Amino acid sequence: MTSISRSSRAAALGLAAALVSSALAVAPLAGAEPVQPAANQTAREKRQDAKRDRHVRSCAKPALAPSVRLVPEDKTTKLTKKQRVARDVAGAGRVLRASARAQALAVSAVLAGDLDKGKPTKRFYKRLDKVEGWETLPPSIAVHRVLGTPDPFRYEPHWPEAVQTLASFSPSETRAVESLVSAGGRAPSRCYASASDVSALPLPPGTSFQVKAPKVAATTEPAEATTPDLAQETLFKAACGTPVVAATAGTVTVTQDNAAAGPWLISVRSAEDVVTWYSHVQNPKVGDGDTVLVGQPLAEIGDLGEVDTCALGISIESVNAKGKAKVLDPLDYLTELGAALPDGPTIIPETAFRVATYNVLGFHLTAPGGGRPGWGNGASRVAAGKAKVEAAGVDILVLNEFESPQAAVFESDPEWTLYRAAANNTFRDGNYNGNAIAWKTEDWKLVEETEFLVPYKTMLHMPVLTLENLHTGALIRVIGVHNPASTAKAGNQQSARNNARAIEIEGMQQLREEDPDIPIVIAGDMNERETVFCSFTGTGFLQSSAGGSVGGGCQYPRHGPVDWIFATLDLDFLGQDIDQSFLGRITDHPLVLADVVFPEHQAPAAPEEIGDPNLKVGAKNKG
Amino acid sequence: MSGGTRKASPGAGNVLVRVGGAALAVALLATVAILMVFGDRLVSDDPKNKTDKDEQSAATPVEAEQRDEVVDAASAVLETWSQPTLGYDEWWAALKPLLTPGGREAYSFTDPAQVPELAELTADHVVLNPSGATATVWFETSDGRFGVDLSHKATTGTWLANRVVFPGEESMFA
Repeated sequence: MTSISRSSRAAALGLAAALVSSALAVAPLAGAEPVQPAANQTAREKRQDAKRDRHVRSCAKPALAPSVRLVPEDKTTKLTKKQRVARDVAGAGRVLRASARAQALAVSAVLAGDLDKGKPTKRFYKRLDKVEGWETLPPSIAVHRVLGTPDPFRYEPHWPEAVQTLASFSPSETRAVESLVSAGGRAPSRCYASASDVSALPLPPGTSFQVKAPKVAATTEPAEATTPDLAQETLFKAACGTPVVAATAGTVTVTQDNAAAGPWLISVRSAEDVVTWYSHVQNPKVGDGDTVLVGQPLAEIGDLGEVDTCALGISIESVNAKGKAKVLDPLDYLTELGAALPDGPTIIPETAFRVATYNVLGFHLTAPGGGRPGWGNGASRVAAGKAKVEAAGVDILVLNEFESPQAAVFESDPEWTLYRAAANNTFRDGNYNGNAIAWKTEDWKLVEETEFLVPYKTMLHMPVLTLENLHTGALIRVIGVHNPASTAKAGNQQSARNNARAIEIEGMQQLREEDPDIPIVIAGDMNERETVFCSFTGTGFLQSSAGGSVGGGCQYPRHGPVDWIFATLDLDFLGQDIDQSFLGRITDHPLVLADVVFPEHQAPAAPEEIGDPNLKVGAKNKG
Repeated sequence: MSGGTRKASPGAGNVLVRVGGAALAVALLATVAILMVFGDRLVSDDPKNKTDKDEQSAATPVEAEQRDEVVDAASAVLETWSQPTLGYDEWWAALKPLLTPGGREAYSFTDPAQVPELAELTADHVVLNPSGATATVWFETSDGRFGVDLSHKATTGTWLANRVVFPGEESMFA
């Protein structure tokens, strides 16, 4: 039998330092209760068990969708005061990069009259993030844990309206937003059952739960099929109030006189005479004689009857023509017969991130004798820029003209991981400059690194990194470039830039051939405008975060800087910002940022098989 | 637990509830005595809430005793919960044993300072589930009509609270 677990102690909320013994608070469940496998289990059965457990585990954890984008306000529609506050609060959630579920929770607090815009909103999102397991708590309980209000169920009636309100601010339909704000908004598609499925798990994808098998081994002896033997039921432990959905299709009976099972013992009898019993539930959504399909809501998890925790009791019996029942193992039945089969391809959920490009203005240029008097110290300038980058919520950052004293600003911060390409120039004091890519340590990890090499006055090194998102497993390639500049001293360097671009395009084409499933983001100071735009988008596989054409025709977008962000077409740009506040004191370039979404997709080959670790394009290997 | 007397409102079936120490015990005994006399009226004196369930729960001796237990348990929950002057630790230590596992999950993050201080608690209606597994007790209070949803745990023989029902809200067992 099986034990699925993920959990931890519930943390105390800020309202009282000593809030509660956590064993009783809801959080993603932990502490597996090991169940001994059958002694006579064959190797094949063990493998099947392991596969089943992996499948259940992958669907029994929250997978939140990123925040909902707000469309510009329709001036012809007059919003009520509450709606206006709700819009501000949802917008703040977007800026703070909260999830769609967090946005909807905040909106429900607004609709209940318990949350205002401004500082309280920021505090709400911050505190919510600290509530352990909030992602999978029933919405009202999650909001209550943030606000500490007297009634934990106060927000229940506001939740549907909150979702509808959030949808009204977004370009999406209400139904789509309902999915986005669920705990499994971005759960792998194989976790979702369709109405045509024979069976599936009884809890929605994204629900944190723990399965506790019965202490008494399931019998295969025939028994009467009137009521389930609760000593043999399998418990799905999760927060009270978690939706319970039909694991099998059929006709509903609700028994109300079984005190041990709670006031509502729901059974669903299928056309094949398989009866599934649901005990200890609350708030039933079905009644006697109703017909339900797999995935349809039945009730909520409760703690009613003889059970010492919030849990759903499941018993399944197969009834023969004579009315005799054979007890079935629920987990086996629900995971091996249904659509939620463990053998499906691994699906990577939608992955959203913010990328930016930042030419820092090299350290030596603003040092004494550097020819740029009046500027602050290069490291201090980068520290100021880094603070702005963090405030903007950037995950991945391409850096140009990046010198050792400036690199130290990032290297000393464990929240960032920095990759510096080989030196473009080395100075007398041992410092060197060049290109680098930095990323948020808690969100991404480096899988593979290489470089494009561009011959110029010195060899220019352009880092090519494969990064893996630690939350979703998505793989992307990020290339940081800085192409030659035309200056009064150097003269027109157009032909050098043409050469650099040709090398970069050839390198990207090669990467795409080798790993067509890994998208590419290429960003940096390209020192040109129309030429680079038309050249890159003219390949047919690159788009600009600034918009404009892709492929032939070259329709130039509205974009002033020579700093660009391009990506392959398997990524979606949600928008671009240009932060001019960097100009003048921090550096001589604006910060260009883009929101990128990598849609749900099938996982590519295993990371160790990706690409060629020796790939060096354009010139001889470095060194 | 802090002391204090909450005003009883006039009328049959009213329950004087004192909060604190021996006073609480006296009050609870008084509650039991009153309920033994007026228990059936408590069940049936709210015609708008009269249901088939009420009819089913009308007055066998065993059920009357059960109703008494339910009202006692509900009164204790509401009194304990409604103490905004207590610090969290003291408040939670008193309330926690009166709650079901789900109730503990729900109320453990409550800031007691935000809880209303209810006075004039009068248990005026009891609804027992036919299975005997759940019940709801309704109270008239100084802040409106509150309810307490409870469920019975046979292993310990106790009634524990699932939730406090605020004015205008429905019982989870409705």
